[in-house]
Amino acid sequence: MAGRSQHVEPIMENQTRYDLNAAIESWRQELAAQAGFTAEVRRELEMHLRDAIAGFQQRGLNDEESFWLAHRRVGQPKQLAEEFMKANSAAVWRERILWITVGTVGYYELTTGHGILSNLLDPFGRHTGAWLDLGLFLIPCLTLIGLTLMIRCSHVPRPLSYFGRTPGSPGFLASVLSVVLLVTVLFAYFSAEKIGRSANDMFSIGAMIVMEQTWLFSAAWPAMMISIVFLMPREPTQNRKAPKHA
Amino acid sequence: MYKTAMLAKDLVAASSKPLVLSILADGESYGYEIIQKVRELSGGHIEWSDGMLYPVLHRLERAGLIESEWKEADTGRERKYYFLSSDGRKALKTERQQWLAVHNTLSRLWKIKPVMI
Repeated sequence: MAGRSQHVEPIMENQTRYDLNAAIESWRQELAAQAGFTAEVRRELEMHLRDAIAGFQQRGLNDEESFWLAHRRVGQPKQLAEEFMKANSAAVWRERILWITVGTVGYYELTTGHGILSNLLDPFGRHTGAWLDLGLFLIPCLTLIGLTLMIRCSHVPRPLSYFGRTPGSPGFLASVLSVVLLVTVLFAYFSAEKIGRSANDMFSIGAMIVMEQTWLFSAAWPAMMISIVFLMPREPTQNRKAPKHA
Repeated sequence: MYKTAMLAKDLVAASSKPLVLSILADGESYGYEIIQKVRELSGGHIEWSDGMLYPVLHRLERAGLIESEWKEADTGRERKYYFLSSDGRKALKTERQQWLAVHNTLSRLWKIKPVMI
């Protein structure tokens, strides 16, 4: 009987071989599906899971047991996300806003690039403002590349956060951006009114708004960048929440 | 069967700051190692859930008390190491005085020898 079970064991083991990497990968995907984490936090938590697994393995547990215990200890991605959102909502919003900025600047680059290039290459040189336009194109372009790299490497530069001394919150930042948009739209409407009665129908006003968007993207994007950098919420050193039962 | 109770939730939360700062005062460390150290030093009385430590670390970092850096670990992967800033060192000093004040008050009440602050 004993000999027989020894003979069976290796086959059983082969059939149920546990794929640790696949387990970690599926945990990672579960984590990535949660909205509360920045890429950097996900990286940090994954490293923690791997450390915990290695710790259990050293104590003689097999891959499956180690993974099970480690992932129990780290916590369910959903609960973790709630904890992080509570403590770290500013960082999450910062990354979201960075992505929105990348999108906005990217859209501007795509829509203006062609016109600027044709102005520059104009053999008759009639467009005197071409170099200014090129500047307005290149600066956002470089910022776009920088921003994307920053987010991809999940290194939002820390020194920048020290400038954020103004008390601000993600909500405040969002309000500033909304005001910028509102002012632009109102500006578009009134400048359309000024031009003449012809711009009074909704279609013309819509066209004016599209024109004003060019103004928004070329003039307001530095404002957006500056707001993001300077209004980065900074936690006060003193804990704001006083203990309820002292 | 009597078993020493685990630390109450609000005490765990309150003590996390001085514990993290004190561990980092001994040198840089990372999340997993910090939790292991706390478990070991407290003799198992302080059991931090792993997910709770990171919000604490990130909060301390935003408050400027600790700083962090991604560094390659011996496993070849990058790990985020935390270390104390000069503000953190000052904060630790204050924390120490406050916790010892509580400790001494209780010690006198319980007739245990107080310690020098």
